[in-house]
Amino acid sequence: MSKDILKKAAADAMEKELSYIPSEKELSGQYTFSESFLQKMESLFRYVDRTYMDIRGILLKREHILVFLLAAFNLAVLAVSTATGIKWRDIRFICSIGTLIILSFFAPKKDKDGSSRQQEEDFGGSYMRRHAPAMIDTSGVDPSPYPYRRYPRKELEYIIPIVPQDYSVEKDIRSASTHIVEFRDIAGRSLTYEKRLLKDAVLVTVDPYAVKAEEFILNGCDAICFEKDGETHILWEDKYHQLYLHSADSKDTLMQTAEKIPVEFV
Amino acid sequence: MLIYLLLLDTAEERNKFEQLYNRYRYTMLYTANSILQDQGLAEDAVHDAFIRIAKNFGKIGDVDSPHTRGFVVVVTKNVALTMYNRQKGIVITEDESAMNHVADSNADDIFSRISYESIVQQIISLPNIYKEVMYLCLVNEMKIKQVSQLLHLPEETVKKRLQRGRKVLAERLEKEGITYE
Repeated sequence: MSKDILKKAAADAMEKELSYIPSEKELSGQYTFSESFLQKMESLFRYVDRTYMDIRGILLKREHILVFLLAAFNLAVLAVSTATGIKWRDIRFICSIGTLIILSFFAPKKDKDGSSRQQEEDFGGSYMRRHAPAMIDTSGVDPSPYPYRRYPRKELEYIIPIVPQDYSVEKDIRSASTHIVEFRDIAGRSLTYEKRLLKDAVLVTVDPYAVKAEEFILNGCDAICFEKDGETHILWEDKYHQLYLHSADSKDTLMQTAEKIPVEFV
Repeated sequence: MLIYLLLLDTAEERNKFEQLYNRYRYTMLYTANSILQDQGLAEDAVHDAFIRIAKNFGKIGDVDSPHTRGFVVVVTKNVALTMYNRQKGIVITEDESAMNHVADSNADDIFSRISYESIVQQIISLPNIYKEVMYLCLVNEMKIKQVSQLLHLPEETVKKRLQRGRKVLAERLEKEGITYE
Protein backbone atom coordinates (compact mmCIF):
# COMPACT_ATOMS: atom_id res chain seq x y z
CA MET A 1 0.00 0.00 0.00
CA SER A 2 1.31 3.36 -0.87
CA LYS A 3 1.97 5.99 1.74
CA ASP A 4 -0.78 8.12 0.20
CA ILE A 5 -3.45 5.51 0.90
CA LEU A 6 -2.26 5.04 4.47
CA LYS A 7 -2.26 8.81 4.90
CA LYS A 8 -5.79 9.09 3.58
CA ALA A 9 -6.95 6.19 5.75
CA ALA A 10 -5.36 7.80 8.82
CA ALA A 11 -7.09 11.09 8.04
CA ASP A 12 -10.45 9.34 7.64
CA ALA A 13 -9.88 7.35 10.83
CA MET A 14 -9.09 10.52 12.73
CA GLU A 15 -12.18 12.26 11.38
CA LYS A 16 -14.34 9.27 12.27
CA GLU A 17 -12.95 9.23 15.81
CA LEU A 18 -13.55 12.92 16.20
CA SER A 19 -17.16 12.53 15.08
CA TYR A 20 -17.87 10.89 18.45
CA ILE A 21 -16.94 14.08 20.25
CA PRO A 22 -19.95 16.39 20.65
CA SER A 23 -19.79 19.80 19.03
CA GLU A 24 -18.10 22.70 20.79
CA LYS A 25 -21.43 24.47 21.22
CA GLU A 26 -23.03 21.40 22.74
CA LEU A 27 -20.11 20.94 25.12
CA SER A 28 -20.17 24.58 26.18
CA GLY A 29 -23.55 23.90 27.75
CA GLN A 30 -22.16 20.99 29.73
CA TYR A 31 -18.99 22.52 31.14
CA THR A 32 -18.08 25.73 32.86
CA PHE A 33 -14.41 26.54 33.18
CA SER A 34 -13.20 27.40 36.64
CA GLU A 35 -11.91 30.85 37.42
CA SER A 36 -8.43 29.53 38.09
CA PHE A 37 -8.34 28.03 34.60
CA LEU A 38 -9.47 31.27 32.99
CA GLN A 39 -6.85 33.10 34.98
CA LYS A 40 -4.13 30.68 33.90
CA MET A 41 -5.17 31.00 30.27
CA GLU A 42 -5.12 34.75 30.56
CA SER A 43 -1.55 34.53 31.84
CA LEU A 44 -0.72 32.23 28.95
CA PHE A 45 -2.02 34.75 26.44
CA ARG A 46 0.23 37.36 27.95
CA TYR A 47 3.08 34.83 28.08
CA VAL A 48 2.91 33.94 24.39
CA ASP A 49 2.69 37.59 23.56
CA ARG A 50 5.70 38.73 25.50
CA THR A 51 7.96 36.02 24.14
CA TYR A 52 10.00 34.28 26.71
CA MET A 53 12.77 31.82 26.30
CA ASP A 54 12.31 28.42 27.79
CA ILE A 55 15.53 26.88 29.06
CA ARG A 56 14.78 23.50 30.53
CA GLY A 57 11.55 24.78 31.99
CA ILE A 58 13.03 28.03 33.33
CA LEU A 59 11.36 30.98 31.69
CA LEU A 60 13.50 33.98 30.96
CA LYS A 61 12.45 37.20 29.33
CA ARG A 62 13.94 38.07 25.97
CA GLU A 63 15.72 41.07 27.43
CA HIS A 64 17.47 38.95 30.06
CA ILE A 65 18.79 36.58 27.41
CA LEU A 66 19.96 39.52 25.31
CA VAL A 67 21.97 41.02 28.17
CA PHE A 68 23.41 37.62 29.02
CA LEU A 69 24.43 36.89 25.42
CA LEU A 70 26.02 40.30 24.92
CA ALA A 71 27.99 40.00 28.13
CA ALA A 72 29.05 36.43 27.35
CA PHE A 73 30.08 37.30 23.79
CA ASN A 74 32.13 40.34 24.76
CA LEU A 75 33.82 38.51 27.61
CA ALA A 76 34.65 35.60 25.32
CA VAL A 77 36.17 37.96 22.73
CA LEU A 78 38.21 39.68 25.42
CA ALA A 79 39.43 36.37 26.83
CA VAL A 80 40.44 35.00 23.43
CA SER A 81 42.09 38.23 22.34
CA THR A 82 44.07 38.52 25.59
CA ALA A 83 45.29 34.98 25.13
CA THR A 84 46.23 35.46 21.46
CA GLY A 85 47.45 39.06 21.66
CA ILE A 86 45.06 40.61 19.15
CA LYS A 87 45.20 44.41 18.89
CA TRP A 88 42.67 46.49 20.83
CA ARG A 89 41.35 48.04 17.60
CA ASP A 90 40.50 44.60 16.21
CA ILE A 91 38.86 43.57 19.49
CA ARG A 92 36.58 46.60 19.34
CA PHE A 93 35.70 45.81 15.74
CA ILE A 94 34.82 42.18 16.52
CA CYS A 95 32.78 43.20 19.59
CA SER A 96 30.84 45.79 17.57
CA ILE A 97 30.01 43.40 14.76
CA GLY A 98 29.01 40.65 17.20
CA THR A 99 26.86 43.04 19.23
CA LEU A 100 25.10 44.24 16.09
CA ILE A 101 24.36 40.67 14.99
CA ILE A 102 22.96 39.74 18.41
CA LEU A 103 20.88 42.93 18.58
CA SER A 104 19.44 42.36 15.11
CA PHE A 105 18.41 38.86 16.12
CA PHE A 106 16.58 40.20 19.16
CA ALA A 107 15.00 43.24 17.52
CA PRO A 108 11.20 43.35 17.89
CA LYS A 109 9.58 41.82 14.85
CA LYS A 110 7.13 43.77 12.77
CA ASP A 111 3.72 42.54 11.84
CA LYS A 112 2.51 42.54 8.28
CA ASP A 113 0.91 45.92 8.77
CA GLY A 114 4.23 47.29 10.02
CA SER A 115 3.21 47.58 13.64
CA SER A 116 5.52 46.40 16.41
CA ARG A 117 4.62 43.78 19.00
CA GLN A 118 5.34 46.28 21.74
CA GLN A 119 2.39 48.47 20.90
CA GLU A 120 -0.45 48.85 23.33
CA GLU A 121 -3.03 47.10 21.19
CA ASP A 122 -1.14 43.86 21.40
CA PHE A 123 -2.60 40.44 21.65
CA GLY A 124 -3.01 40.52 25.41
CA GLY A 125 -4.47 44.00 25.39
CA SER A 126 -6.81 43.42 22.51
CA TYR A 127 -7.97 40.17 24.03
CA MET A 128 -8.84 41.93 27.23
CA ARG A 129 -10.54 44.72 25.40
CA ARG A 130 -12.61 42.41 23.27
CA HIS A 131 -13.83 40.28 26.13
CA ALA A 132 -16.06 41.41 28.90
CA PRO A 133 -15.28 40.63 32.51
CA ALA A 134 -16.43 37.39 34.04
CA MET A 135 -13.64 36.93 36.50
CA ILE A 136 -11.78 39.21 38.86
CA ASP A 137 -8.20 38.51 39.68
CA THR A 138 -7.26 39.77 43.09
CA SER A 139 -4.38 37.34 43.51
CA GLY A 140 -1.80 40.05 43.08
CA VAL A 141 -0.08 38.09 40.31
CA ASP A 142 0.69 40.45 37.46
CA PRO A 143 -2.48 42.46 38.02
CA SER A 144 -2.12 44.74 35.06
CA PRO A 145 -4.31 43.61 32.17
CA TYR A 146 -2.65 46.15 29.89
CA PRO A 147 1.05 45.36 30.16
CA TYR A 148 2.37 48.03 27.83
CA ARG A 149 0.28 50.95 28.92
CA ARG A 150 1.79 53.94 30.69
CA TYR A 151 -0.48 55.01 33.52
CA PRO A 152 -1.11 58.63 34.49
CA ARG A 153 -0.09 59.47 38.05
CA LYS A 154 -3.16 59.91 40.18
CA GLU A 155 -4.18 59.60 43.82
CA LEU A 156 -7.46 57.85 44.48
CA GLU A 157 -10.19 59.95 46.06
CA TYR A 158 -12.51 57.98 48.30
CA ILE A 159 -15.82 59.58 47.44
CA ILE A 160 -19.08 57.69 47.37
CA PRO A 161 -20.50 59.18 44.16
CA ILE A 162 -24.10 58.05 44.58
CA VAL A 163 -26.35 56.17 46.93
CA PRO A 164 -28.80 54.30 44.69
CA GLN A 165 -32.47 54.65 45.48
CA ASP A 166 -33.67 52.28 48.26
CA TYR A 167 -30.07 51.31 49.10
CA SER A 168 -27.85 52.28 52.02
CA VAL A 169 -24.10 51.92 52.47
CA GLU A 170 -23.18 48.69 54.21
CA LYS A 171 -19.40 48.46 53.70
CA ASP A 172 -16.81 50.97 52.64
CA ILE A 173 -13.47 49.28 51.86
CA ARG A 174 -10.44 51.38 50.98
CA SER A 175 -6.90 50.59 49.90
CA ALA A 176 -4.19 52.63 48.17
CA SER A 177 -5.60 52.03 44.72
CA THR A 178 -9.09 50.62 45.29
CA HIS A 179 -12.32 51.86 46.73
CA ILE A 180 -15.16 49.35 47.13
CA VAL A 181 -18.57 50.29 48.43
CA GLU A 182 -21.26 47.73 49.13
CA PHE A 183 -24.85 48.91 49.28
CA ARG A 184 -27.81 46.93 50.57
CA ASP A 185 -31.53 47.58 50.28
CA ILE A 186 -34.27 46.65 52.79
CA ALA A 187 -35.01 43.45 50.89
CA GLY A 188 -31.39 42.36 51.45
CA ARG A 189 -30.26 42.77 47.84
CA SER A 190 -26.74 44.06 47.38
CA LEU A 191 -25.15 46.43 44.89
CA THR A 192 -21.39 46.83 44.69
CA TYR A 193 -19.48 49.80 43.34
CA GLU A 194 -15.74 49.46 42.76
CA LYS A 195 -13.28 52.09 41.65
CA ARG A 196 -9.65 51.28 40.94
CA LEU A 197 -6.70 53.19 39.61
CA LEU A 198 -5.93 51.87 36.14
CA LYS A 199 -2.53 50.55 37.17
CA ASP A 200 -4.36 48.10 39.43
CA ALA A 201 -7.28 47.43 37.13
CA VAL A 202 -8.73 43.97 37.62
CA LEU A 203 -7.91 41.21 35.23
CA VAL A 204 -11.00 40.39 33.23
CA THR A 205 -11.96 37.72 30.79
CA VAL A 206 -15.17 36.17 29.60
CA ASP A 207 -16.44 32.91 28.30
CA PRO A 208 -18.22 33.95 25.08
CA TYR A 209 -20.22 30.73 25.03
CA ALA A 210 -21.59 31.18 28.52
CA VAL A 211 -21.97 34.94 28.69
CA LYS A 212 -23.22 37.45 26.18
CA ALA A 213 -21.38 40.69 26.64
CA GLU A 214 -22.47 44.00 25.21
CA GLU A 215 -20.06 46.83 24.52
CA PHE A 216 -21.31 50.41 24.62
CA ILE A 217 -20.34 53.96 25.50
CA LEU A 218 -21.17 55.13 29.00
CA ASN A 219 -20.69 58.84 29.75
CA GLY A 220 -18.13 58.93 26.95
CA CYS A 221 -16.20 55.88 28.21
CA ASP A 222 -15.78 52.42 26.72
CA ALA A 223 -18.03 50.12 28.74
CA ILE A 224 -19.02 46.48 28.85
CA CYS A 225 -22.19 45.01 30.28
CA PHE A 226 -22.98 41.35 30.83
CA GLU A 227 -25.18 39.16 32.96
CA LYS A 228 -23.81 36.22 34.88
CA ASP A 229 -25.15 34.08 37.73
CA GLY A 230 -28.24 36.26 38.10
CA GLU A 231 -26.25 39.48 38.41
CA THR A 232 -25.76 42.33 36.00
CA HIS A 233 -22.20 43.64 35.65
CA ILE A 234 -21.10 46.93 34.12
CA LEU A 235 -17.45 47.79 33.76
CA TRP A 236 -16.07 51.00 32.30
CA GLU A 237 -12.97 53.16 32.30
CA ASP A 238 -12.26 56.86 32.39
CA LYS A 239 -8.81 58.37 31.98
CA TYR A 240 -7.58 57.34 35.43
CA HIS A 241 -9.94 54.69 36.79
CA GLN A 242 -11.60 51.42 36.17
CA LEU A 243 -15.18 51.52 37.46
CA TYR A 244 -17.24 48.46 38.15
CA LEU A 245 -20.83 48.10 39.23
CA HIS A 246 -22.68 44.86 39.80
CA SER A 247 -25.94 43.85 41.39
CA ALA A 248 -29.06 41.75 40.95
CA ASP A 249 -30.82 44.81 39.50
CA SER A 250 -31.95 44.69 35.91
CA LYS A 251 -29.64 45.95 33.21
CA ASP A 252 -31.68 49.13 32.67
CA THR A 253 -31.79 49.99 36.37
CA LEU A 254 -28.07 49.39 36.83
CA MET A 255 -27.35 51.38 33.69
CA GLN A 256 -29.25 54.35 35.11
CA THR A 257 -27.20 54.09 38.31
CA ALA A 258 -23.96 53.83 36.34
CA GLU A 259 -24.82 56.94 34.30
CA LYS A 260 -24.98 58.99 37.49
CA ILE A 261 -21.41 58.14 38.46
CA PRO A 262 -19.07 60.96 37.40
CA VAL A 263 -16.04 60.16 35.22
CA GLU A 264 -12.79 62.06 34.70
CA PHE A 265 -11.19 62.90 31.37
CA VAL A 266 -8.86 65.73 32.35
CA MET B 1 18.48 22.16 21.52
CA LEU B 2 18.31 23.39 25.08
CA ILE B 3 17.31 26.89 24.15
CA TYR B 4 14.51 27.77 21.83
CA LEU B 5 12.31 30.73 21.35
CA LEU B 6 8.65 30.54 22.07
CA LEU B 7 7.35 32.67 19.30
CA LEU B 8 4.02 33.83 18.13
CA ASP B 9 5.57 36.57 16.10
CA THR B 10 2.79 38.34 14.34
CA ALA B 11 -0.58 39.68 15.35
CA GLU B 12 -1.97 37.18 12.86
CA GLU B 13 -0.49 34.27 14.80
CA ARG B 14 -1.60 35.64 18.11
CA ASN B 15 -5.13 36.09 16.81
CA LYS B 16 -5.02 32.57 15.45
CA PHE B 17 -3.98 31.25 18.83
CA GLU B 18 -6.89 33.09 20.38
CA GLN B 19 -9.24 31.66 17.74
CA LEU B 20 -7.94 28.20 18.47
CA TYR B 21 -8.68 28.70 22.14
CA ASN B 22 -12.21 29.90 21.51
CA ARG B 23 -12.86 27.20 18.94
CA TYR B 24 -11.61 24.09 20.74
CA ARG B 25 -11.30 24.56 24.48
CA TYR B 26 -14.50 22.68 25.33
CA THR B 27 -13.57 19.88 22.95
CA MET B 28 -10.20 19.72 24.67
CA LEU B 29 -11.78 19.76 28.11
CA TYR B 30 -14.17 16.98 27.10
CA THR B 31 -11.27 14.91 25.73
CA ALA B 32 -9.13 15.39 28.84
CA ASN B 33 -12.06 14.86 31.19
CA SER B 34 -13.02 11.59 29.54
CA ILE B 35 -9.55 10.29 30.46
CA LEU B 36 -8.95 11.93 33.82
CA GLN B 37 -12.54 11.96 35.12
CA ASP B 38 -11.80 15.11 37.07
CA GLN B 39 -12.52 18.56 35.74
CA GLY B 40 -9.77 20.25 37.73
CA LEU B 41 -7.14 17.92 36.33
CA ALA B 42 -8.71 18.12 32.88
CA GLU B 43 -8.38 21.91 32.97
CA ASP B 44 -4.70 21.54 33.86
CA ALA B 45 -4.32 19.19 30.91
CA VAL B 46 -6.02 21.67 28.56
CA HIS B 47 -3.71 24.43 29.78
CA ASP B 48 -0.62 22.27 29.27
CA ALA B 49 -1.90 21.27 25.84
CA PHE B 50 -2.24 24.93 24.86
CA ILE B 51 1.35 25.55 25.93
CA ARG B 52 2.52 22.66 23.78
CA ILE B 53 0.45 23.90 20.87
CA ALA B 54 1.91 27.40 21.24
CA LYS B 55 5.38 25.94 21.08
CA ASN B 56 4.51 24.06 17.89
CA PHE B 57 2.23 26.64 16.39
CA GLY B 58 3.79 26.43 12.95
CA LYS B 59 1.92 23.21 12.27
CA ILE B 60 -1.50 24.79 12.70
CA GLY B 61 -3.16 25.47 9.38
CA ASP B 62 -6.77 26.50 9.04
CA VAL B 63 -8.27 26.73 12.54
CA ASP B 64 -11.57 25.23 11.42
CA SER B 65 -10.15 22.30 9.48
CA PRO B 66 -10.66 18.72 10.73
CA HIS B 67 -6.88 18.28 10.72
CA THR B 68 -6.50 21.08 13.25
CA ARG B 69 -9.28 19.63 15.36
CA GLY B 70 -7.54 16.27 15.24
CA PHE B 71 -4.24 17.88 16.12
CA VAL B 72 -5.55 19.58 19.26
CA VAL B 73 -7.42 16.45 20.34
CA VAL B 74 -4.31 14.29 19.88
CA VAL B 75 -2.18 16.72 21.88
CA THR B 76 -4.79 17.00 24.65
CA LYS B 77 -5.23 13.24 24.80
CA ASN B 78 -1.49 12.78 25.07
CA VAL B 79 -1.17 15.32 27.88
CA ALA B 80 -4.15 13.83 29.74
CA LEU B 81 -2.84 10.27 29.37
CA THR B 82 0.59 11.32 30.60
CA MET B 83 -1.04 12.93 33.65
CA TYR B 84 -3.23 9.89 34.21
CA ASN B 85 -0.29 7.49 34.01
CA ARG B 86 1.81 9.65 36.32
CA GLN B 87 -1.04 9.74 38.82
CA LYS B 88 -1.53 6.01 38.76
CA GLY B 89 2.20 5.34 38.78
CA ILE B 90 2.02 3.69 35.37
CA VAL B 91 5.19 3.68 33.33
CA ILE B 92 4.74 3.19 29.61
CA THR B 93 7.37 0.90 28.19
CA GLU B 94 7.67 0.20 24.53
CA ASP B 95 5.80 -2.98 23.76
CA GLU B 96 8.47 -5.25 22.33
CA SER B 97 5.94 -8.03 21.95
CA ALA B 98 4.15 -5.98 19.38
CA MET B 99 7.19 -6.43 17.20
CA ASN B 100 7.38 -10.16 17.82
CA HIS B 101 3.78 -10.77 16.90
CA VAL B 102 4.25 -9.23 13.54
CA ALA B 103 4.51 -11.73 10.82
CA ASP B 104 7.68 -11.72 8.85
CA SER B 105 5.88 -10.68 5.75
CA ASN B 106 6.39 -7.14 4.62
CA ALA B 107 3.69 -4.79 5.97
CA ASP B 108 3.45 -3.03 2.64
CA ASP B 109 2.47 -6.29 0.93
CA ILE B 110 -0.43 -6.81 3.30
CA PHE B 111 -1.69 -3.27 2.97
CA SER B 112 -1.73 -3.62 -0.75
CA ARG B 113 -4.23 -6.48 -0.61
CA ILE B 114 -6.92 -5.36 1.78
CA SER B 115 -9.95 -3.12 1.57
CA TYR B 116 -9.74 0.55 2.39
CA GLU B 117 -12.57 0.57 4.95
CA SER B 118 -10.88 -2.16 6.93
CA ILE B 119 -7.72 -0.12 7.14
CA VAL B 120 -9.68 2.84 8.54
CA GLN B 121 -11.40 0.64 11.14
CA GLN B 122 -8.16 -0.98 12.18
CA ILE B 123 -6.39 2.35 12.52
CA ILE B 124 -9.15 3.47 14.89
CA SER B 125 -8.69 0.36 17.01
CA LEU B 126 -4.90 0.76 17.26
CA PRO B 127 -3.42 1.46 20.71
CA ASN B 128 -3.33 5.17 21.34
CA ILE B 129 0.47 5.40 21.50
CA TYR B 130 0.75 4.22 17.90
CA LYS B 131 -2.30 6.03 16.65
CA GLU B 132 -1.28 9.46 17.88
CA VAL B 133 2.11 9.43 16.16
CA MET B 134 0.47 8.07 13.02
CA TYR B 135 -2.04 10.90 12.99
CA LEU B 136 0.58 13.55 13.62
CA CYS B 137 3.09 12.21 11.10
CA LEU B 138 0.69 11.22 8.36
CA VAL B 139 -2.28 13.56 8.69
CA ASN B 140 -0.62 16.64 10.10
CA GLU B 141 2.55 15.95 8.10
CA MET B 142 4.82 16.50 11.05
CA LYS B 143 8.42 15.38 11.08
CA ILE B 144 9.62 12.84 13.66
CA LYS B 145 11.55 15.59 15.43
CA GLN B 146 8.48 17.85 15.62
CA VAL B 147 6.34 15.04 17.01
CA SER B 148 8.96 14.24 19.60
CA GLN B 149 8.98 17.87 20.73
CA LEU B 150 5.21 18.05 20.79
CA LEU B 151 4.68 14.83 22.73
CA HIS B 152 7.81 15.20 24.87
CA LEU B 153 9.17 11.88 23.64
CA PRO B 154 12.62 10.92 22.35
CA GLU B 155 12.86 10.93 18.55
CA GLU B 156 13.79 7.26 18.56
CA THR B 157 10.60 6.40 20.46
CA VAL B 158 8.46 8.29 17.97
CA LYS B 159 10.19 6.55 15.10
CA LYS B 160 9.69 3.13 16.68
CA ARG B 161 6.06 3.83 17.48
CA LEU B 162 5.42 4.80 13.91
CA GLN B 163 7.06 1.68 12.57
CA ARG B 164 5.38 -0.57 15.11
CA GLY B 165 2.04 1.06 14.52
CA ARG B 166 2.26 0.17 10.86
CA LYS B 167 3.37 -3.36 11.61
CA VAL B 168 0.71 -3.95 14.27
CA LEU B 169 -1.85 -2.61 11.84
CA ALA B 170 -0.64 -4.97 9.13
CA GLU B 171 -0.66 -7.91 11.50
CA ARG B 172 -4.16 -7.21 12.76
CA LEU B 173 -5.56 -6.87 9.32
CA GLU B 174 -4.08 -10.18 8.36
CA LYS B 175 -5.33 -11.88 11.54
CA GLU B 176 -8.86 -10.60 11.02
CA GLY B 177 -8.98 -12.60 7.85
CA ILE B 178 -10.12 -9.59 5.96
CA THR B 179 -11.20 -10.30 2.45
CA TYR B 180 -8.48 -9.23 0.22
CA GLU B 181 -9.27 -7.23 -2.84
